Amino acid sequence: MEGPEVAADAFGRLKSILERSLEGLTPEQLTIQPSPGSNPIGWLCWHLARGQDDHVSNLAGREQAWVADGWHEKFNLPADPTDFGTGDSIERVRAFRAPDAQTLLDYYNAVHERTAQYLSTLTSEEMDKPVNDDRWTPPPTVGVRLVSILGDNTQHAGQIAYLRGYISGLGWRT
Amino acid sequence: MDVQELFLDSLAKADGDLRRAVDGLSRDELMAQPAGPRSNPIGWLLWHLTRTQDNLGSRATGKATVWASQKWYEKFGLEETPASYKPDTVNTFDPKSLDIIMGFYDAVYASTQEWAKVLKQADFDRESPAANPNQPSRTVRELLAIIVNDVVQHVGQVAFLRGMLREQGWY
Repeated sequence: MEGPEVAADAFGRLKSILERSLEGLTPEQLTIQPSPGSNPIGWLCWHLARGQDDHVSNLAGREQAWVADGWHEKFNLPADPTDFGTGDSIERVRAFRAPDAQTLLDYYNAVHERTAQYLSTLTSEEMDKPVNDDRWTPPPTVGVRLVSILGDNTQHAGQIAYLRGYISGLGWRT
Repeated sequence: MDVQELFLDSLAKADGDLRRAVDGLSRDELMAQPAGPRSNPIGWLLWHLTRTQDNLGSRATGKATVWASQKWYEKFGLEETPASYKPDTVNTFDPKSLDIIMGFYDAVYASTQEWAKVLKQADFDRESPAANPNQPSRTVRELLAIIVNDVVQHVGQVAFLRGMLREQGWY
Protein backbone atom coordinates (compact mmCIF):
# COMPACT_ATOMS: atom_id res chain seq x y z
CA MET A 1 0.00 0.00 0.00
CA GLU A 2 1.26 3.44 -0.95
CA GLY A 3 0.87 6.97 0.47
CA PRO A 4 -2.15 7.98 -1.64
CA GLU A 5 -4.06 4.85 -0.56
CA VAL A 6 -3.38 5.58 3.11
CA ALA A 7 -4.62 9.14 2.59
CA ALA A 8 -7.76 7.79 0.87
CA ASP A 9 -8.34 5.44 3.81
CA ALA A 10 -8.05 8.39 6.26
CA PHE A 11 -10.57 10.46 4.24
CA GLY A 12 -12.89 7.42 4.26
CA ARG A 13 -12.79 7.34 8.08
CA LEU A 14 -13.89 10.98 8.12
CA LYS A 15 -16.89 10.26 5.94
CA SER A 16 -18.22 7.63 8.33
CA ILE A 17 -17.66 9.81 11.44
CA LEU A 18 -19.64 12.64 9.81
CA GLU A 19 -22.47 10.38 8.68
CA ARG A 20 -22.82 8.97 12.21
CA SER A 21 -22.52 12.35 13.92
CA LEU A 22 -25.01 14.24 11.73
CA GLU A 23 -27.63 11.51 11.41
CA GLY A 24 -31.09 12.75 12.41
CA LEU A 25 -30.04 16.24 13.58
CA THR A 26 -32.57 19.05 13.04
CA PRO A 27 -31.55 22.40 11.47
CA GLU A 28 -31.86 23.97 14.96
CA GLN A 29 -29.51 21.38 16.49
CA LEU A 30 -26.93 22.28 13.83
CA THR A 31 -26.72 25.76 15.38
CA ILE A 32 -26.35 24.78 19.07
CA GLN A 33 -23.33 26.38 20.78
CA PRO A 34 -22.32 25.00 24.18
CA SER A 35 -20.78 28.42 24.94
CA PRO A 36 -21.19 31.82 23.23
CA GLY A 37 -17.77 31.66 21.57
CA SER A 38 -17.84 28.06 20.32
CA ASN A 39 -18.46 26.72 16.83
CA PRO A 40 -21.68 24.76 16.23
CA ILE A 41 -21.90 21.49 14.23
CA GLY A 42 -23.42 23.11 11.12
CA TRP A 43 -20.66 25.67 10.69
CA LEU A 44 -17.95 23.10 11.56
CA CYS A 45 -19.16 20.62 8.95
CA TRP A 46 -19.48 23.33 6.29
CA HIS A 47 -15.99 24.70 7.10
CA LEU A 48 -14.46 21.22 7.04
CA ALA A 49 -15.98 20.38 3.65
CA ARG A 50 -15.09 23.80 2.24
CA GLY A 51 -11.46 23.36 3.35
CA GLN A 52 -11.18 19.98 1.67
CA ASP A 53 -12.88 21.27 -1.49
CA ASP A 54 -10.43 24.20 -1.65
CA HIS A 55 -7.24 22.25 -0.88
CA VAL A 56 -7.88 19.18 -3.02
CA SER A 57 -9.30 21.16 -5.95
CA ASN A 58 -6.10 23.23 -5.91
CA LEU A 59 -3.98 20.09 -5.93
CA ALA A 60 -6.04 18.53 -8.71
CA GLY A 61 -6.04 21.75 -10.74
CA ARG A 62 -9.80 21.92 -11.04
CA GLU A 63 -12.55 24.31 -10.07
CA GLN A 64 -14.14 23.72 -6.66
CA ALA A 65 -17.39 21.74 -6.42
CA TRP A 66 -18.72 24.74 -4.41
CA VAL A 67 -18.59 26.84 -7.57
CA ALA A 68 -18.53 24.38 -10.48
CA ASP A 69 -21.43 22.22 -9.27
CA GLY A 70 -23.49 25.06 -7.79
CA TRP A 71 -23.29 23.90 -4.13
CA HIS A 72 -23.08 27.53 -3.00
CA GLU A 73 -26.67 28.03 -4.23
CA LYS A 74 -27.97 25.32 -1.90
CA PHE A 75 -26.43 27.25 1.03
CA ASN A 76 -27.61 30.65 -0.29
CA LEU A 77 -24.03 31.91 -0.41
CA PRO A 78 -22.08 33.59 -3.23
CA ALA A 79 -19.94 31.55 -5.65
CA ASP A 80 -16.78 32.66 -3.83
CA PRO A 81 -13.99 30.05 -3.89
CA THR A 82 -12.04 31.95 -1.19
CA ASP A 83 -14.88 31.69 1.35
CA PHE A 84 -14.24 28.61 3.45
CA GLY A 85 -14.69 29.90 6.98
CA THR A 86 -11.08 30.28 8.11
CA GLY A 87 -10.88 33.54 10.07
CA ASP A 88 -14.66 33.93 10.31
CA SER A 89 -15.81 36.16 13.18
CA ILE A 90 -17.99 34.55 15.84
CA GLU A 91 -20.85 36.73 14.58
CA ARG A 92 -20.58 35.16 11.15
CA VAL A 93 -20.26 31.69 12.68
CA ARG A 94 -23.48 32.33 14.64
CA ALA A 95 -25.29 33.69 11.61
CA PHE A 96 -24.35 30.74 9.37
CA ARG A 97 -27.33 28.52 8.52
CA ALA A 98 -27.12 25.19 6.73
CA PRO A 99 -30.42 24.23 5.05
CA ASP A 100 -30.38 20.84 6.84
CA ALA A 101 -28.06 18.00 7.89
CA GLN A 102 -28.61 16.09 4.66
CA THR A 103 -27.49 19.03 2.49
CA LEU A 104 -24.30 19.30 4.56
CA LEU A 105 -23.64 15.58 4.17
CA ASP A 106 -24.45 15.71 0.45
CA TYR A 107 -21.95 18.53 -0.09
CA TYR A 108 -19.33 16.72 2.00
CA ASN A 109 -19.91 13.48 0.08
CA ALA A 110 -19.63 15.29 -3.27
CA VAL A 111 -16.26 16.73 -2.14
CA HIS A 112 -15.22 13.31 -0.82
CA GLU A 113 -15.93 11.65 -4.19
CA ARG A 114 -13.72 14.20 -5.96
CA THR A 115 -10.96 13.69 -3.37
CA ALA A 116 -11.14 9.90 -3.77
CA GLN A 117 -10.98 10.27 -7.55
CA TYR A 118 -7.94 12.56 -7.33
CA LEU A 119 -6.12 10.23 -4.91
CA SER A 120 -6.78 7.21 -7.15
CA THR A 121 -4.64 8.85 -9.86
CA LEU A 122 -1.86 10.07 -7.52
CA THR A 123 1.44 8.23 -6.94
CA SER A 124 3.75 8.29 -3.90
CA GLU A 125 6.39 10.05 -6.04
CA GLU A 126 3.93 12.80 -7.01
CA MET A 127 3.27 13.41 -3.31
CA ASP A 128 6.87 14.69 -3.01
CA LYS A 129 6.44 17.37 -5.69
CA PRO A 130 6.01 21.00 -4.61
CA VAL A 131 2.58 22.56 -4.98
CA ASN A 132 2.07 25.67 -7.07
CA ASP A 133 1.75 28.17 -4.22
CA ASP A 134 3.92 31.28 -4.05
CA ARG A 135 2.76 32.26 -0.54
CA TRP A 136 5.36 29.87 0.94
CA THR A 137 9.12 29.61 0.37
CA PRO A 138 9.87 26.84 -0.32
CA PRO A 139 6.36 25.75 -1.36
CA PRO A 140 4.97 22.71 0.52
CA THR A 141 4.76 19.35 -1.22
CA VAL A 142 1.52 17.69 -2.28
CA GLY A 143 1.95 15.23 0.63
CA VAL A 144 2.39 18.02 3.20
CA ARG A 145 -0.77 19.71 1.89
CA LEU A 146 -2.71 16.44 2.19
CA VAL A 147 -1.44 15.82 5.75
CA SER A 148 -2.46 19.38 6.60
CA ILE A 149 -6.04 19.13 5.34
CA LEU A 150 -6.46 15.62 6.78
CA GLY A 151 -5.31 16.85 10.20
CA ASP A 152 -7.56 19.90 10.07
CA ASN A 153 -10.59 17.89 8.89
CA THR A 154 -10.06 15.06 11.41
CA GLN A 155 -9.79 17.51 14.33
CA HIS A 156 -13.04 19.17 13.26
CA ALA A 157 -14.71 15.74 12.87
CA GLY A 158 -13.69 15.01 16.48
CA GLN A 159 -15.26 18.30 17.56
CA ILE A 160 -18.47 17.45 15.68
CA ALA A 161 -18.61 14.03 17.38
CA TYR A 162 -18.06 15.68 20.78
CA LEU A 163 -20.87 18.16 20.11
CA ARG A 164 -23.17 15.34 19.01
CA GLY A 165 -22.57 13.76 22.42
CA TYR A 166 -23.35 17.13 24.02
CA ILE A 167 -26.65 17.35 22.12
CA SER A 168 -27.78 13.71 22.27
CA GLY A 169 -26.28 12.60 25.58
CA LEU A 170 -24.52 9.41 26.50
CA GLY A 171 -24.78 6.39 24.28
CA TRP A 172 -25.66 8.02 20.95
CA ARG A 173 -22.66 6.30 19.40
CA THR A 174 -23.44 2.74 20.46
CA MET B 1 5.66 10.42 0.42
CA ASP B 2 5.49 6.89 1.67
CA VAL B 3 3.10 5.30 4.15
CA GLN B 4 5.46 5.81 7.08
CA GLU B 5 5.99 9.53 6.43
CA LEU B 6 2.26 10.10 6.07
CA PHE B 7 1.56 8.57 9.50
CA LEU B 8 4.54 10.18 11.25
CA ASP B 9 3.92 13.64 9.73
CA SER B 10 0.25 13.40 10.78
CA LEU B 11 1.24 12.56 14.36
CA ALA B 12 3.85 15.35 14.39
CA LYS B 13 1.25 17.90 13.27
CA ALA B 14 -1.17 16.67 15.96
CA ASP B 15 1.64 16.89 18.53
CA GLY B 16 2.29 20.57 17.73
CA ASP B 17 -1.42 21.39 17.84
CA LEU B 18 -1.83 19.54 21.13
CA ARG B 19 1.04 21.41 22.81
CA ARG B 20 -0.51 24.74 21.82
CA ALA B 21 -3.92 23.61 23.07
CA VAL B 22 -2.76 22.52 26.55
CA ASP B 23 -0.15 25.23 27.16
CA GLY B 24 -0.47 26.64 30.70
CA LEU B 25 -3.63 24.72 31.70
CA SER B 26 -4.12 24.25 35.44
CA ARG B 27 -5.24 21.02 37.10
CA ASP B 28 -8.69 22.58 37.58
CA GLU B 29 -8.90 23.37 33.89
CA LEU B 30 -7.80 19.82 33.03
CA MET B 31 -10.67 18.47 35.15
CA ALA B 32 -13.31 21.02 34.09
CA GLN B 33 -16.36 19.91 32.10
CA PRO B 34 -17.46 23.07 30.28
CA ALA B 35 -19.82 21.06 28.05
CA GLY B 36 -21.78 19.65 30.96
CA PRO B 37 -21.50 17.21 33.89
CA ARG B 38 -21.24 14.10 31.69
CA SER B 39 -18.82 15.42 29.08
CA ASN B 40 -15.19 14.39 28.73
CA PRO B 41 -12.73 16.81 30.36
CA ILE B 42 -9.37 17.70 28.76
CA GLY B 43 -7.37 15.68 31.32
CA TRP B 44 -9.34 12.51 30.67
CA LEU B 45 -9.10 13.06 26.88
CA LEU B 46 -5.30 13.34 27.15
CA TRP B 47 -5.13 10.16 29.22
CA HIS B 48 -7.47 8.30 26.87
CA LEU B 49 -5.74 9.33 23.61
CA THR B 50 -2.40 8.33 25.14
CA ARG B 51 -3.68 5.00 26.48
CA THR B 52 -5.19 4.14 23.09
CA GLN B 53 -1.93 4.96 21.31
CA ASP B 54 0.01 2.93 23.90
CA ASN B 55 -2.29 -0.12 23.76
CA LEU B 56 -2.44 -0.26 19.96
CA GLY B 57 1.34 0.29 19.77
CA SER B 58 1.87 -2.59 22.16
CA ARG B 59 -0.34 -4.75 19.97
CA ALA B 60 1.57 -3.74 16.82
CA THR B 61 5.00 -4.41 18.34
CA GLY B 62 4.23 -7.28 20.72
CA LYS B 63 6.02 -5.35 23.51
CA ALA B 64 4.69 -4.23 26.90
CA THR B 65 2.85 -0.91 27.11
CA VAL B 66 4.72 2.21 28.27
CA TRP B 67 1.99 2.44 30.96
CA ALA B 68 3.16 -0.87 32.42
CA SER B 69 6.88 -0.93 31.61
CA GLN B 70 7.54 2.61 32.92
CA LYS B 71 5.01 2.21 35.76
CA TRP B 72 3.01 5.33 34.80
CA TYR B 73 0.00 3.86 36.62
CA GLU B 74 1.78 4.62 39.92
CA LYS B 75 1.96 8.33 39.08
CA PHE B 76 -1.81 8.39 38.54
CA GLY B 77 -2.58 6.24 41.60
CA LEU B 78 -4.26 3.64 39.37
CA GLU B 79 -3.99 -0.13 38.93
CA GLU B 80 -1.73 -1.51 36.21
CA THR B 81 -4.93 -2.77 34.56
CA PRO B 82 -7.56 -0.14 35.41
CA ALA B 83 -11.22 -1.09 35.38
CA SER B 84 -12.99 -0.07 32.19
CA TYR B 85 -14.05 3.55 32.36
CA LYS B 86 -17.63 4.57 33.08
CA PRO B 87 -19.13 8.09 33.18
CA ASP B 88 -18.39 8.43 36.89
CA THR B 89 -14.73 7.57 36.46
CA VAL B 90 -14.48 10.01 33.55
CA ASN B 91 -16.00 12.71 35.76
CA THR B 92 -13.51 12.11 38.56
CA PHE B 93 -10.34 11.14 36.65
CA ASP B 94 -7.39 13.02 38.15
CA PRO B 95 -4.62 13.88 35.66
CA LYS B 96 -2.52 15.11 38.67
CA SER B 97 -0.85 17.96 36.75
CA LEU B 98 -0.14 19.12 33.22
CA ASP B 99 3.47 17.93 33.62
CA ILE B 100 2.44 14.43 34.67
CA ILE B 101 -0.27 13.86 32.06
CA MET B 102 1.91 15.35 29.30
CA GLY B 103 4.89 13.34 30.59
CA PHE B 104 2.90 10.18 29.98
CA TYR B 105 1.84 11.45 26.53
CA ASP B 106 5.48 12.36 25.66
CA ALA B 107 6.74 8.91 26.71
CA VAL B 108 4.13 7.11 24.57
CA TYR B 109 4.59 9.41 21.57
CA ALA B 110 8.39 8.87 21.74
CA SER B 111 7.80 5.12 21.80
CA THR B 112 5.39 5.30 18.82
CA GLN B 113 7.95 7.25 16.77
CA GLU B 114 10.65 4.77 17.72
CA TRP B 115 8.79 1.68 16.54
CA ALA B 116 7.02 3.29 13.56
CA LYS B 117 10.27 4.73 12.14
CA VAL B 118 11.90 1.33 11.69
CA LEU B 119 8.95 -0.41 10.00
CA LYS B 120 9.71 -1.90 6.61
CA GLN B 121 7.20 -2.09 3.77
CA ALA B 122 6.34 -5.73 4.58
CA ASP B 123 5.74 -4.91 8.27
CA PHE B 124 2.71 -2.77 7.43
CA ASP B 125 0.81 -5.80 6.13
CA ARG B 126 1.61 -8.00 9.14
CA GLU B 127 -1.52 -9.22 10.90
CA SER B 128 -1.78 -8.35 14.56
CA PRO B 129 -4.51 -10.31 16.34
CA ALA B 130 -6.53 -8.73 19.16
CA ALA B 131 -6.18 -10.00 22.73
CA ASN B 132 -9.98 -10.32 22.76
CA PRO B 133 -10.89 -13.06 20.22
CA ASN B 134 -14.21 -11.30 19.49
CA GLN B 135 -12.36 -8.32 18.03
CA PRO B 136 -11.06 -8.44 14.46
CA SER B 137 -7.40 -8.98 13.61
CA ARG B 138 -5.75 -5.81 12.23
CA THR B 139 -2.68 -5.17 10.13
CA VAL B 140 0.02 -2.86 11.53
CA ARG B 141 -1.03 -0.29 8.91
CA GLU B 142 -4.62 -0.39 10.16
CA LEU B 143 -3.47 -0.01 13.76
CA LEU B 144 -1.45 3.09 12.79
CA ALA B 145 -4.41 4.51 10.86
CA ILE B 146 -6.62 4.02 13.94
CA ILE B 147 -4.00 5.64 16.22
CA VAL B 148 -3.67 8.69 13.95
CA ASN B 149 -7.42 9.11 13.51
CA ASP B 150 -8.09 8.72 17.25
CA VAL B 151 -5.29 11.05 18.38
CA VAL B 152 -6.16 13.78 15.86
CA GLN B 153 -9.91 13.74 16.67
CA HIS B 154 -9.19 14.03 20.39
CA VAL B 155 -6.64 16.82 19.82
CA GLY B 156 -9.44 18.69 18.02
CA GLN B 157 -11.69 18.15 21.05
CA VAL B 158 -8.99 19.38 23.45
CA ALA B 159 -8.57 22.54 21.34
CA PHE B 160 -12.35 23.06 21.28
CA LEU B 161 -12.59 22.69 25.07
CA ARG B 162 -9.73 25.10 25.61
CA GLY B 163 -11.66 27.57 23.49
CA MET B 164 -14.68 27.07 25.77
CA LEU B 165 -12.64 27.48 28.96
CA ARG B 166 -10.64 30.50 27.89
CA GLU B 167 -13.14 31.77 25.31
CA GLN B 168 -12.26 32.93 21.85
CA GLY B 169 -9.11 34.41 20.52
CA TRP B 170 -6.50 32.03 21.92
CA TYR B 171 -5.77 30.14 18.67
